[in-house]
Amino acid sequence: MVKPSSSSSSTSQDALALINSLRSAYSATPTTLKIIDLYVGFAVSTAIIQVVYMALVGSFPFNSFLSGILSCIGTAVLAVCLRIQVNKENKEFKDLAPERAFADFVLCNLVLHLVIMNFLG
Amino acid sequence: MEASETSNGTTLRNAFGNVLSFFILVLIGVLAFSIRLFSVIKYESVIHEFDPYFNYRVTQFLTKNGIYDFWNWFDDRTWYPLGRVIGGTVYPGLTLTAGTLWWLLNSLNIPLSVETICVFTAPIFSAFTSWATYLLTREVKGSGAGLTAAALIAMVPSYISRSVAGSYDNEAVAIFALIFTFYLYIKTLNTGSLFYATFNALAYFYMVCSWGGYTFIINLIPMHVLMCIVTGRYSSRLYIAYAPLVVLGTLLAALVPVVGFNAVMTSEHFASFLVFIIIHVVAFVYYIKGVLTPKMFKVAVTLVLSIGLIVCCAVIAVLVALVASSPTKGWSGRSLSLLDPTYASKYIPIIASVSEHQPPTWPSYFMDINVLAFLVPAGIIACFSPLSDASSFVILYIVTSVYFSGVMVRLMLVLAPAACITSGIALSEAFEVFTRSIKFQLPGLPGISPVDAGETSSDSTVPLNEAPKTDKSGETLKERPSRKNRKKEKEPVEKPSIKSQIEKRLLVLPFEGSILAIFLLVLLGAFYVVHCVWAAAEAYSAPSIVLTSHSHDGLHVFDDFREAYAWLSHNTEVDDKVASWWDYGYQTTAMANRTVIVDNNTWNNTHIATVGTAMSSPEKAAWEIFNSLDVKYVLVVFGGLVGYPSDDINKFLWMVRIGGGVFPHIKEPDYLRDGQYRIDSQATPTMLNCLMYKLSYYRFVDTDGKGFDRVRRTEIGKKYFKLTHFEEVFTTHHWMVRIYKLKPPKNRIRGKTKKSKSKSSATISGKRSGTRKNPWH
Amino acid sequence: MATRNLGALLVLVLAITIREVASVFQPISDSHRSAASELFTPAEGSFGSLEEAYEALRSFEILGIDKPDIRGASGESVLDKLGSSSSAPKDLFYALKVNSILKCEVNKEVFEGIASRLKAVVNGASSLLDIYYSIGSLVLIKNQSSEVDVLLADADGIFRSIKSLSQSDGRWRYSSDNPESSTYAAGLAVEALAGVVSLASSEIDQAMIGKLKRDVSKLFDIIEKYDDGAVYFDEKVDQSPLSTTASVVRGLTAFAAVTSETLKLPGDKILGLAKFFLGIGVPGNTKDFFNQIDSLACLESNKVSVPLILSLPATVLSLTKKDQLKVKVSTVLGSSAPPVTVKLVRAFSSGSKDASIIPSQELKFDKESRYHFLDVLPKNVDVGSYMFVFEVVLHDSEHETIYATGGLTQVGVFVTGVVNIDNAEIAVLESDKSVETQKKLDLAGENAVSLSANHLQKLRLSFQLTTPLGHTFKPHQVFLKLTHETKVEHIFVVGNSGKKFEIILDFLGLVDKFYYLSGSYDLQLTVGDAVMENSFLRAIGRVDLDLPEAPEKATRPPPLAVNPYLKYGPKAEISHIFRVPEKLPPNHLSLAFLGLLLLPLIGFLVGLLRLGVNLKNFPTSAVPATFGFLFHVGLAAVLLLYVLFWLKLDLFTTLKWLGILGVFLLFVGHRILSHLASTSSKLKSA
Repeated sequence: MVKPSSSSSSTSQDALALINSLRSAYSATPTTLKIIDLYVGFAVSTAIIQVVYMALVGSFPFNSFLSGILSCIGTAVLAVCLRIQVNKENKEFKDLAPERAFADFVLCNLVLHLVIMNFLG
Repeated sequence: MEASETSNGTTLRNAFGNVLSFFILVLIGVLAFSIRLFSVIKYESVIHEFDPYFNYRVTQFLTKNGIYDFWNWFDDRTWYPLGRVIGGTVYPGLTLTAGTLWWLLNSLNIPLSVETICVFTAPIFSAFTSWATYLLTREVKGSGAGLTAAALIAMVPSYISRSVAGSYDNEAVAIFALIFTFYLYIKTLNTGSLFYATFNALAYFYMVCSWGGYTFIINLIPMHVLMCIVTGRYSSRLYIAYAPLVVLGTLLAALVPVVGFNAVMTSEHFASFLVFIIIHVVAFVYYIKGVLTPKMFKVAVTLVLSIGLIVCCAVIAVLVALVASSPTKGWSGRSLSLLDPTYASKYIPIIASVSEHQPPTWPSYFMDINVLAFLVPAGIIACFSPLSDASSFVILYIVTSVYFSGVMVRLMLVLAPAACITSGIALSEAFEVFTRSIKFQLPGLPGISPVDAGETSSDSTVPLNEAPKTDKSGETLKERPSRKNRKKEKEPVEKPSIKSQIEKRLLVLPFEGSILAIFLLVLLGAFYVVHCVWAAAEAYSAPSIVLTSHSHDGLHVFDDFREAYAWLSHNTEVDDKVASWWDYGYQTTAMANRTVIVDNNTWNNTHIATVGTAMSSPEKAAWEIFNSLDVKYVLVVFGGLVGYPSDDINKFLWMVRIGGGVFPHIKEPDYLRDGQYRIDSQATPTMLNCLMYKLSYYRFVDTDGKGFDRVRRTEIGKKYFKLTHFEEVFTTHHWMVRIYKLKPPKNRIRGKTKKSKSKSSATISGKRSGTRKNPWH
Repeated sequence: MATRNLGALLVLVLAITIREVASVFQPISDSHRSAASELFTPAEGSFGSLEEAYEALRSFEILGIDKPDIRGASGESVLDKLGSSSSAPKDLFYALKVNSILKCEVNKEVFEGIASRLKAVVNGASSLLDIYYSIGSLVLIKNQSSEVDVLLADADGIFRSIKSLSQSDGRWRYSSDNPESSTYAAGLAVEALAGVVSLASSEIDQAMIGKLKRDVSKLFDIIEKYDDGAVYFDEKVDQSPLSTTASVVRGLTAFAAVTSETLKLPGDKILGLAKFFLGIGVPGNTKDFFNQIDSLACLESNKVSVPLILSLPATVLSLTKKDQLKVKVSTVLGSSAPPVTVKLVRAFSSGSKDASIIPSQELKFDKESRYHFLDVLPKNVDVGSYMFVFEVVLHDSEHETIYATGGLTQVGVFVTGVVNIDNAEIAVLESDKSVETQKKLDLAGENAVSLSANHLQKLRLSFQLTTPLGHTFKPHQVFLKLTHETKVEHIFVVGNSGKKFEIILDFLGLVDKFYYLSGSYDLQLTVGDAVMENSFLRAIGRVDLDLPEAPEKATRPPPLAVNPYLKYGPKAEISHIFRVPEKLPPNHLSLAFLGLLLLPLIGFLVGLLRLGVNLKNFPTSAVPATFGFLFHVGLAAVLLLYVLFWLKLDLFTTLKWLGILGVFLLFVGHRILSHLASTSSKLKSA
């Protein structure tokens, strides 16, 4: 579509520009969303560490491994959902109060972790 | 401005409409429940054919021993000598539901027997299903369509066939779970709240507990998500609706013992994971798009897309590797036979041997969803205008289910709700269009607001052409006016623009034409109602353990099965083993409480093949097989006297095939005379000497002089023969069930004993003469 | 396997042949003594009861074995039985019996007390057993201490009361109100009556005695007899023939001992009784053993007639070893008999009752070995089984009344010898009887012929058996066994025609019987007889058969006979295969990863601090603050509950608590969140 296929240098500076604009755009996001992002990052990195462990050792107590990974992914996904819902820019959720979103988030987390605990064995 | 004044007007109609629709829903529930009671009225409150008996037995065990014993229940009274781990191999949803119902009622001091609960579970849940259908369709196309769809599914024959009172099978609750899961999915999709997403996962869990058909959900929803993404309908609501469902649903599904790790190991579920990853990539892309300026985004797209593509390729590679590593490419036999309809008949004779796994015929379509079959295309068209996420889902649902029902008869059950929803949409749309056209051409009321006009017109027109209706169809007719004012109270608030277009479009329809069309539509509905009631009353309410036949001299009732099972339970030892073809395994364990060799849960092909081999072997070999299995009694079902077509002789070729599949010395051609299966004098000697033939036709010639088989419509080939290793112990009144006992092994030293007896008598005589051998020498 | 079967068959046939002839009774010998000393073994120094003790002691006494030292234990039990005033007559009876052997010193008062009690019992008793035990005890007391007065005042009355229990057929009833009549009771009654007579202070009138004698002789009318001359008394109810006979014999001998004049009983009956007891051999349990020995002892020294037993040390005489025919005459217990002469009346081969083969002659008597012997068998005695008929003649005639010799005694004797086998040959014949190959066999030694035949030919095996005297000999077993490589074996009986044994196997007719199994068959010939000293079971080589191919419906060869010891023996132990436990990673690795998992958490917290997480949204006013606090507490409680669920709780308790907590959370959370929402909306509006 556009010129990044023209030459490597242009793509690199494009990338730089992209990074800058990304950072600037992100710095505009409110603190609450940043916290949520941090939380998501935390969950995802935990999941990744577990995957690495599985790759090294093997997934013998499979249910434990599965519940570990899925709990991380699940919390991450739920946090992303929460983020989507409380995002001010998001037009779709005008009528949804952030508190309500948080309540749903809590409920969903409780259910998720009940299941996780049950599955942990 | 006029929005406000309509609003207060609408609050009134809103309340009125809600109350009305509530009553209509209650009536629909009553209809759905009561139309399924024909079996109880015409026969008796009894559990129906085969699998329900197993479920009934499991439920009894659950109510007697509690949940934990049920969870690790090893059943040693079936699959002798292997036994079966019931807790880990059964879908517990139905059992737990009925058990909970029973427990609830008893704790309320309503002492109902477990059997009663089991008999009436299906009708109750069919009422729930109709309500769930209402909710789903309302999410798709407004509550008018919802009510129509609910009324349709309350009496759609293909669903009745699986949920009449007494057919206590997984589908009874599974369909409800299916529809309800879909409803919650659509609801989440529309509102985008995690709350519904959570309940969506829970409903999915219930579905997984209830039926193996849950894979349909976990494949259909990803397909829909993918379709939305591809058609550029991605929204963050879609993400909220899907991503939590996958995570939670997978975990919950893994909790069910029978599914266990399959939820992540088998390829039925891989599609969902794939889509899960894709949707994340897409979500990320959209997020970037949101935060970036379009120019920068253009730059970003290239990089992000490339990265995303790389990730996708990697993931796909991983998945492919996993699939390739797992046997049968990770697909269970039944799913494979879904994808490739010829698979089962080629590789798994057991699956192929079940009649409900065969592809259906066109008449069966008309029989099961009769007028809906014609309404479905109209409904699809209606879904396209306008196309929303929900309606696209419905379209996808109907298309896939049509394909599946084309593969297996039993999946007609999955098709029925989709057909009902689409045709409900179609009907309501049609009615709306016609009434609207009528309303706009009514003379004498020029300055009236369209809404009231619609009110009056509908209220005036509907009774006018619903006067000549039977009270049965009155049920469905009663809701029509209500649907119309549901519509009309919706449009003003929702889409006035669309409404105006509609009015313009409608003006072209002539007045009489629309009245005629409404009349025809109502007639169609009436015909549907009549057909459904007939189907419910005649076709689908026969419990296949009690048979009736009308003949010139009145009604005959054949209760031979229960006669035979009662005989077994009263006249045999508690731990005797009874061998029969696997169809009768569940009934034997449940009704006669005797250990069986194989039963309807066909988890061990070899074991079934052993029994099949025994049935198709000559008497002595069969005796040895059965004796090695410690069998005491052999039970065969024989319809030749009363013309009961589904008896063991007709199933015999399957026994031969299944047996031959494992034990090659059983060859199907040996039983066929130049390609056709016959038991008359032309039959092959192998056929005439096999155990099944002998057990079925032993002493048959005594009934009428010449041994005429009413099912095969021929005289049997070999009339006079004796059984050397089996003895007949019981034959029911109409000869439908015949029970034989294995004779004890021959006494090898019979001659000797006879001699010794004579000797002893000699010694006695000798004693009388006064002398006897001195035993000490 | 097969050979073992044949061996067993041989033994069986041998047994049958022995049974056919009249059996010979051996007197009590050392085998009984050894059996006794191992049968009666006192458990920890004393016997279970005085009765057993008495049986043991009595048997030892009779057999002349020094009794084991059970004096202490049994003695004191005897004493306290006698001392206690409440012991039943039966206990007293056996105590006294034991005492009569052990000779414990019991002072006179005890005896008198017992005697008086027993007399009271006797006078009052109605049941036969009480009377029997009491009378018996009194008799024992009388024998053990002379000065105790045990004489019965009214012996006649007691005698009559006992006699009133007698039946017309000589049997007796246990008590007056029990119609059941029994031979065993008869024995007891007669013994009791004998005791009464011995205890009678005054003379019993002879009429009663006479009646009693008639009863006894009537009793001998219902005697049962075996074909070998043994006679015994049988009991319909609860008593074994042995114990019944024993009790009768005891009563009989006791009665004979006390009566002045002899009671006439046929001597052969007494001899038959002796034969019955001897014929039992060595019984397995103590009761029978005691009954046998005790009654034999009674017979040994009875006053009616002492049976003399004629026995042979060996009933098998070998012609090759020139065995002598030896005969021994003794009493039942093996003590030597009065001087007698044994005559060999006649001897004939047991098969045919034809004329005697040995002239009637007396046997010589050998002093020191006390054997009567026939020094050399006459020449015309061939191998075979014979009946020798002996007669025992007492030298001086007054012994005739004392001893019962039973006249002629018939004893079966086997005369064995070497049967010589000649012109044995095996041949393969064509279908037209023309000899194809023929081989001589030396059945005395080893020989391994190897033949080959097809299914159109025949196999012929023939030989002759002649006794030392040249007659043709017909052994009991002549078998030819063919064993295929696959252990399928066929046994044919070799028939004899005239003087030669011959079998012709026509393979054409046998192909089906041979299951069409071609290949080499091992030939094995079995010739066996009880009197044939060189019975043999010998492989004589092999024959290679080639038989036609098996048609479709040919009968399969039977499965090999599985060794019964394997079949009924313990099965092989099932070795269970357990799933191997998955290998777990080393501990430190897991711990390292645990630490690694902490890193993101730390990063998260650090990030929070850097972002400056603010609690300014946390409500300041009291009520909502408490709610907010409670909300978080509730969340913490739920998480704690989950941990508990993971650790110990089960699902349902968890769900219950979760429900409670959930309601609480719902309430509190709704309050706090709604409050927050209102404040935020206020902010927006403001």
